[in-house]
Amino acid sequence: MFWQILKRDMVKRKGVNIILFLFITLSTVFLASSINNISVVFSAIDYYMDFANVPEISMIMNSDKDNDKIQFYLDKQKEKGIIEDYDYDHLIEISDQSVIVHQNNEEKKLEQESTGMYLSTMDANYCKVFDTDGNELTLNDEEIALSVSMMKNAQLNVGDKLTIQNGGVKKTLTIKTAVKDAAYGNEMVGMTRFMMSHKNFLEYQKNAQQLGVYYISTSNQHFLQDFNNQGFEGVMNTVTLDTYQLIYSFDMIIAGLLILIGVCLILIALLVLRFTLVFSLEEQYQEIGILKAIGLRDFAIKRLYLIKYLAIVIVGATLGALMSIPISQMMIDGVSQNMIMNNHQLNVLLNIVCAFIIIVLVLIFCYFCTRKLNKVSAITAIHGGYTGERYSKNSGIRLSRSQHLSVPFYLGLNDIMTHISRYIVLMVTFCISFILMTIPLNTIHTMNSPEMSKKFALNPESSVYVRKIEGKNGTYHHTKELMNGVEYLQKEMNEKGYSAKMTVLPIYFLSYNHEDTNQKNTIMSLQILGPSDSYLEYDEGDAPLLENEIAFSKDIMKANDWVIGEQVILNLSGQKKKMMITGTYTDYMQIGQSARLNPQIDCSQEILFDYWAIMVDLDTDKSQQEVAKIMQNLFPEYEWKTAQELVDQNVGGIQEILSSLLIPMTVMLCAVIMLITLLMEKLFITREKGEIAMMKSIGFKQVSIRHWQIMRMSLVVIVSMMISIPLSLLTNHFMLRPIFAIMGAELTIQVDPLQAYLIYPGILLIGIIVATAIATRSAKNINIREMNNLE
Amino acid sequence: MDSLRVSNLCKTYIVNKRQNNVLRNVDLEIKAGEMVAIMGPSGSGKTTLLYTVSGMDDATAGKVNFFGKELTELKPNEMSDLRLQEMGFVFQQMYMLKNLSIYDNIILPAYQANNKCKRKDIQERAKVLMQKLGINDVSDNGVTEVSGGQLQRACICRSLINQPKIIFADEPTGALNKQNSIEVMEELTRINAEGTSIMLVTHDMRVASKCERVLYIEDGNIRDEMTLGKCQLTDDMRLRERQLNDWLIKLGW
Repeated sequence: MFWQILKRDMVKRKGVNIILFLFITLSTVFLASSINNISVVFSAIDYYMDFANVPEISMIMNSDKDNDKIQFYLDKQKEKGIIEDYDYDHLIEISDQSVIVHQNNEEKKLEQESTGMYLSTMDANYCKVFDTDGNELTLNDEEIALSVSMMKNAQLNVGDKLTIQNGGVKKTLTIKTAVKDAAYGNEMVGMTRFMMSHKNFLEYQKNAQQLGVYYISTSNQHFLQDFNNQGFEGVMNTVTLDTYQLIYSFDMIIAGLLILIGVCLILIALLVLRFTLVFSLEEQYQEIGILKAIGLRDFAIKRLYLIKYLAIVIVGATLGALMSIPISQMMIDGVSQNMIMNNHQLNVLLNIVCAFIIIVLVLIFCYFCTRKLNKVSAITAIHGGYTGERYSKNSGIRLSRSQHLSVPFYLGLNDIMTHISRYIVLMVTFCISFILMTIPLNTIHTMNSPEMSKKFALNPESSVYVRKIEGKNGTYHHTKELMNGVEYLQKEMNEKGYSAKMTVLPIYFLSYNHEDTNQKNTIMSLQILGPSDSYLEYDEGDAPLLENEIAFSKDIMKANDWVIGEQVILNLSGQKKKMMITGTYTDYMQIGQSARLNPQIDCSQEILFDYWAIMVDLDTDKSQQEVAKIMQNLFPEYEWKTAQELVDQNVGGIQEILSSLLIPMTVMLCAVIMLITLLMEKLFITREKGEIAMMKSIGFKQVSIRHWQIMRMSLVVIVSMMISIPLSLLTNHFMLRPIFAIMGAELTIQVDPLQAYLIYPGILLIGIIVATAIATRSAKNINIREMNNLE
Repeated sequence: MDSLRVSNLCKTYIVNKRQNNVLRNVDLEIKAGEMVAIMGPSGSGKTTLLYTVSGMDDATAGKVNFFGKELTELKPNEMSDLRLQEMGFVFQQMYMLKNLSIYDNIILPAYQANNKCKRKDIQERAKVLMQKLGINDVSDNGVTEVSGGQLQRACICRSLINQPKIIFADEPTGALNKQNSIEVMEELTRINAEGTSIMLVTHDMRVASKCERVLYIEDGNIRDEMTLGKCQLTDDMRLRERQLNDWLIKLGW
């Protein structure tokens, strides 16, 4: 009997066993490969930063006016042991208009999305760059090297030529290699550099506007604040090692997503396993009763079932672990394209440990599921689980009281109402699927929302946005040049019949301190110049309007213990100006650490770090996308963008990645739930053979029986959809909001009800109905004589 | 044609590559309003005959003319409609849907039939039937909350809800005690008296003695038949049983 039960279960439940096996295999693949990837990336980031000698602090200077003072100060700090070492390097800022690509005997514009482009050499001891094999870079004259991501984005190849015109110097250089550039190679840094020989760099340096960079190696926590307190002029931006590490950790997002899918698959596999196990136990109660009656211990009977699942889980997890090895290797190879890793070898042990954990987890779960056997006596089991207590209250609904329900609908609804626990597994599975589906949908929708645009200081109402208006005239260094450029563009547009109003957002790095302390902070400061200046929102207080007013982000306020109404000193062009804090806000500018200047204050003498996308207002009904297209055709020398494009550009293209994942994810989820539905429906039909036969005997058609089954499954789906709505809102709150908050500000997760609660669940619903319809075909083969199976 | 006429009906099962001829050229006729019992030893083909004649099982050969309709020529859906609207079934085991109350189980086929009959009328009809069969007190009970006799009477109510031309009953008292058996048979006799034909399979002589005619089946063929005449209230049931017993003994029962 022992082997009979085992053999029968393996053969009879072939479909169920195969599906369980698939789930365990897939979840092992996802979990093992993604955990392996995260472990590799995690250790690789530190190794790469160390290998490339990325310092704790990189300080970008827009002027060398205080260079002597700074170097004197740094030398003193070095003597005191506060800093270990430092170095100074130059970067030449160029615009992408000044670069022409020669590829396959054709000339084209350089396609790139980075904020700033710089020319650099390999002279500094810090932030070193390496070729794709990890060897230190050497370049001859007339040779140039670009980061791997830049080469990929601009579709450049080794051997292509670039003509760079800057400061009156025009040279054509050949791309020697792609480089791994730890400090400037990641798209999310927002700065990219072109490496060239020292000689070539000097040629460009003669008339060029350049930035200085101090690379400071220190483990002293207070050094940066002390440096800021010195009030040196020209400090523009400070990038810490932590920021670089954070940026590279975004490489783990896909692995994180795979872990989430793996966990969900394991959860679903466990739910299915519980359902089938309990179903098998109930079905084989009589055999179990006989085994109990002849004196077998509970564990001996449980072992029967555990052995079966042990076999499935061991084979599934082992296969999964084996399959995860090449996938892990592929993922590591993907990471190693952008990083230098100390060990390219895969840690197979980690994959094995993951598989082992899954085996143990599933078996423990199985053991808990078989606990039901302890409670059943031998005679109760022989009686098919009935204890004699047959007088349970029927909790269903009455057909006689439901005047308008069709019979199949009523039967489906009544089944769910009377045996809700039987459908919980399905509901949980469907809920997980629906919630998983809403995550990318809500993320994309939030990124497309007006609130998201505002968090990036963009007015969502603008007709279009334009960037890089400087053209071939080099980069703007003062607001006046920028305003001249804007005026010129307005004139150009006017000539072509477009009367445009433009709002400009110059960005400066300015030094502030509280009026009572000397503690100075260099903060990225944004000024809104133009007609569209009232769209930004404030969490507390109001926008700065008067010349002595300013607003800071919440992070800055919190870090400095500042409150609204207090006064801070702004060091502007050598003058100290008292500014009153009028408001506070959260946004994504500089990872949530910024200041908003009033439009009155004169910053014309300050060095312009950059300028934000210029907001163009036109008298048009056309969408941003349409206007951007028209403008790009009319003025191809500028970059015309929509708010969504700008947002996506600033979040490293996540929106694009998610959008591209949407269809494969829907297909995968649909396949998973169809598989589960098929499996469960087959089990339901097996359980309901007697009832189906009886219904056939009294004249129910096959189509009515299928309608009943489909209706019931559809109701389960609809209930699951309704349950998943509040759950997805909770997911938004507890999962998506914190992820968005990492970028610097919390925002309301936007939901498109049509997509999230109708279209995509509708697709899954269709999949479920199809799977149910397929499974119910087997009801046709149920013979009326099988009424005898009715309990 | 106002009868159920079976001619040359054959039913063959293939079990383990061996042919088993369960019914061999059966001919019979049940007229409208007639109550006929099928008797015979175990394995003689009684139940198979009932299932094949009622269209629940396909015939291997032969014809079944059901009140003018040729069953063997009907498509599965037409057959289902016929079973739902013109036939009633009572089984030995009281098969009902456990999730539904007694009342709901009874009205279920009528709701399913959807023959332009208002649901209110169906409910009224069900109540009348339950009243007649004495189960209106347990109408809201669950299937597991009534006695076997009550459940079988509920099954009879269900079989009558669509006002069928004939009721097929397979050992309707087989799972009941003596008292319940008597009650169920009284109901079936009364229903027959109201005009519904009944074809029942039974081992029980007392049950068969209530029928107008008894067919004896052996080795898949009708060996003999006995006409007892319509059972009246005034009839001496013991006499009918004795007559039947003598006949059966003669046939080797």
